[in-house]
Amino acid sequence: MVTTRVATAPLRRVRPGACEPALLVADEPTTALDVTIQAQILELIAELQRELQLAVLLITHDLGVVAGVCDRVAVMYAGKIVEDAPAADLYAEPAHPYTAGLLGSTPRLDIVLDRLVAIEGAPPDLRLPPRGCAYATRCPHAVERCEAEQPSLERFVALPLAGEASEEDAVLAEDELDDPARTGRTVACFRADELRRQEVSA
Amino acid sequence: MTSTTPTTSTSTDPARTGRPVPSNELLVEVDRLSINFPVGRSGFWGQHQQWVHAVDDVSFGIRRGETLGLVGESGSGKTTVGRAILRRIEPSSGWIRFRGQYITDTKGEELRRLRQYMQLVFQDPYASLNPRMTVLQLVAEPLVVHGRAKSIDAARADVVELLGRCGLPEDAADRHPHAFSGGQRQRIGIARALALRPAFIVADEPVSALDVSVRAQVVNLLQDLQHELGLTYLFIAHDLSVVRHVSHRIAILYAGKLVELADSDAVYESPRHPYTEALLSSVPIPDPPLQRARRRIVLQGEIPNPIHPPPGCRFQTRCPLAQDRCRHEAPPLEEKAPGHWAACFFR
Repeated sequence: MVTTRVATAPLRRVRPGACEPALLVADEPTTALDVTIQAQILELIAELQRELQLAVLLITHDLGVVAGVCDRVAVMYAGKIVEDAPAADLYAEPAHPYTAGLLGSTPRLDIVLDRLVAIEGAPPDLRLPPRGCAYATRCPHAVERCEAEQPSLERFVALPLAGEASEEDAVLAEDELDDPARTGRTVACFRADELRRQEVSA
Repeated sequence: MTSTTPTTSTSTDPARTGRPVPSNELLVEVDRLSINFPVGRSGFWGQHQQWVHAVDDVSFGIRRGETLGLVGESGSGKTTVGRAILRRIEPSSGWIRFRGQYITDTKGEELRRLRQYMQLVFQDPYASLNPRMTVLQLVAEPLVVHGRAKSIDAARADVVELLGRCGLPEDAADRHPHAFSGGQRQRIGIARALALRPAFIVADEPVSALDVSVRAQVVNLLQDLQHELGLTYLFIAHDLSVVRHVSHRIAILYAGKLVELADSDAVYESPRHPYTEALLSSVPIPDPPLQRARRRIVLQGEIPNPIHPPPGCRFQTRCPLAQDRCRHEAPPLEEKAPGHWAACFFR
């Protein structure tokens, strides 16, 4: 109940006339709210965004909320952005093993699975940050390099690979190279491309 | 007495859901349960005692080996129902039966014995474990209290076995709870609840306080333990996605009233009560194209004040279908299809 007030009070303050903000930072605005109230708050944020042409930075752990309202998603793990992608691409084809793990461990209302695919272990203690990739200890795909070296955020192109697409698709892909929504994907994983190829061939 | 208790159809397909098949024996029966709490007085001389009508005329049964999901928003009474079954809260009226025995008036030594068979898993793994005790002491305590072990140390072998079953490392027994992550603490809480080998567990929001990445581990553990030990769960939660994943059947509470009860697939695929529909439509699905195409029913307002619930149907103040009749008369819980119960005049 308190959270509702905390979350909506700043929103009310940015109504037109008060000032003209360009950015709304919503930090877990619906966490701890009941879902019917969450729906009200999300509706309010969407309305404000439309009316005021706001940019919204939505900070949340809820992949369902993100799917409904976000255009682009940056996934953080242990203090670092590990993946950044347009929302639809991220869910359809997660590039980072952590993103894939999160999606696998989230139960869905519309699909009943036998068993959730849990991420084993717990996040690292940041007082003793690991030398390599912070996710390596929990990652099913980690190799030696991952424990020794930190991967940086690099461009990830989720376009059809050579040999798997028709000619028509290839032409389309050329056009899409100029579309930042298609090419604006980055991921911090040494094995992202390799894993994607494995997935495609599987 | 139990003829008013909605039980179940047997349409759950275990091959598809991976949930164990429950027996037909009712382990827990709740019959016309009402719970009122006294709150402050009103009136000029404070002569009117006010009551919170937390739970009103709720009936359901849970079969041995079944998981019944109990869903509702804050103030729906779901936690109160769970505590009443465990006899931690006194009902104002109604009956509770456990293994065929009326337990509503059970007291003293008999109640203490009864409690061995029904245990609670708490929401907050940080607050529910005494930080001064080691894990061995925490898990062995109920064994010593109930005379199943002579001392904490005598219980060590059993405790270590149980900790292993709950996915904790061997050396966990001699550490304190603060040395563990949230997910591991919840495993300790589960081990403690299981120490007496209960038949029935009330799990009250057992994964709500956990990180997304850890939540699935604990959900899987609860399901594994149900398979291995034949446990019966009342799984209380506000997160319908988790509830649908673990439950054979789902009961939905609104402002202290049971508004719908059915197999969990039936609740999702063909909800009867307009509140259930609104609730389902508000649960976001992690799939952008799908989620954006969904029709969302946004309810106005909030759950009514439980001190002065509205007359008639408690959902009428927010219901898109409400008519005059709903404002005067409370709809009874009726079996709308085999095993599918709902409390609405128009569905």
